[in-house]
Amino acid sequence: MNMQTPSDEILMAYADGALSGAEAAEVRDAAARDPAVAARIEMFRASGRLLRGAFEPVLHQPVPQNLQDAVAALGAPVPGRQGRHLLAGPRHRPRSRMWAQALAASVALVLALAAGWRLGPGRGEPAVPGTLMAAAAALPAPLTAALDRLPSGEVAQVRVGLHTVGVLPLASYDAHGSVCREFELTAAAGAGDRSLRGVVCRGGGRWLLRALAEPAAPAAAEAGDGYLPASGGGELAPLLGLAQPLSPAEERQRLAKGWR
Amino acid sequence: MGSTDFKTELTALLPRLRRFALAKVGDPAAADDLVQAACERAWRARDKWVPGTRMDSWMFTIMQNLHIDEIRAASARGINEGSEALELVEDHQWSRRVEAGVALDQVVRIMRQLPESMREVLALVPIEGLSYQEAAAVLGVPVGTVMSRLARARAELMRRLQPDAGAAGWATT
Repeated sequence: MNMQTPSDEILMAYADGALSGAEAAEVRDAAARDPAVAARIEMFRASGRLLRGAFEPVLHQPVPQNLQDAVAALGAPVPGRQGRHLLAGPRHRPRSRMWAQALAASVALVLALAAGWRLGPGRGEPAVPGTLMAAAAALPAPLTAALDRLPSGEVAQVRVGLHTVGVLPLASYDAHGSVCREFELTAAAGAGDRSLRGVVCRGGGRWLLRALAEPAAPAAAEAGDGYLPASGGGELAPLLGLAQPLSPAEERQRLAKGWR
Repeated sequence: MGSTDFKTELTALLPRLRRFALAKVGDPAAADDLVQAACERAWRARDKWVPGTRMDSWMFTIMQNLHIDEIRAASARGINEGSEALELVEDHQWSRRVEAGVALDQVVRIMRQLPESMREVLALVPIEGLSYQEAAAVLGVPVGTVMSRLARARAELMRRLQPDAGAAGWATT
């Protein structure tokens, strides 16, 4: 007998029960003749059992709340729409300093890409400067680390992708027992006067981005279209229904407790 | 199928999508981000979903394409996979959860050492239970490619899991 040893693909298909009767019979014969072939088949069987068994527990883990929320929110009105209306109003005066529209291209875009979501108010709508966007998105690790350790009013430079940005927490808020923080991101020196305002909230043991405001370009503000920059202290958080800033002492306590 | 039914079916599928993503990506936080992005894309494309066909394969295909897009976008920006921009927030909750199943942790760690092309077939066939043909359709490659990748991936996984597998006869060809 000088039968050829079946290929690995055939042995695997046999182990997986994917061969037809005649093919399977050939492999059975080969395995009976050659213990190495039988062992190889058993290796493929074992690998299948092991993988199925090892990954089975994932099915029984609770789906993280932020993921459940994100799926539940599919098709819901984009919070940015609401934000636009809220941002428009006489009490918001245009800021005198230049807000570079290219800001989006530097900080916001990097963040958006890194966090895995799109920048912009909603599907099919043109991105309007000054809009709020909200997403229960995870942020890049260097940024969340800064938000973890910085008290409000202290700035730190962190690297996010290829960019260095200044992170400045502005205030912390109590949100039904959880904590939210408003912060400002500023592109590093040389990139001009560019900044972004954002709100993160604690969820599932990490910071999730709830809103990011890209200040309106001066042109838009001058055009009087009502989309004015979110400016001044703590402007974003109230728009999200966050009313009570934590006192410095309360904030210190929360920070020390890992924001729980 | 109405939007509500679509969402209900998608929600019911989340545990499996997470399992697939973890096996494919090898990182719990990145896996959940991939699942979320895929759900968003699926929602936008829900008109293309044919009720009565398998939503799992459809979602796996979306995740497959999405991940390819992400990798392409990252390389277009000059950022390699694993660089800071793609570093995702560590999910301590998950780490605690997997402590209960050391085997999962160990298998995920070893799978991470394998190329993604191998992890994908492992995720689709032995883990998610797709046939070779179904996996080929998801990946957009011939069935023969799936089989050869899968055979190599399984042999490699077992070799790395059992450094002394040779003694047990598993390493013999």
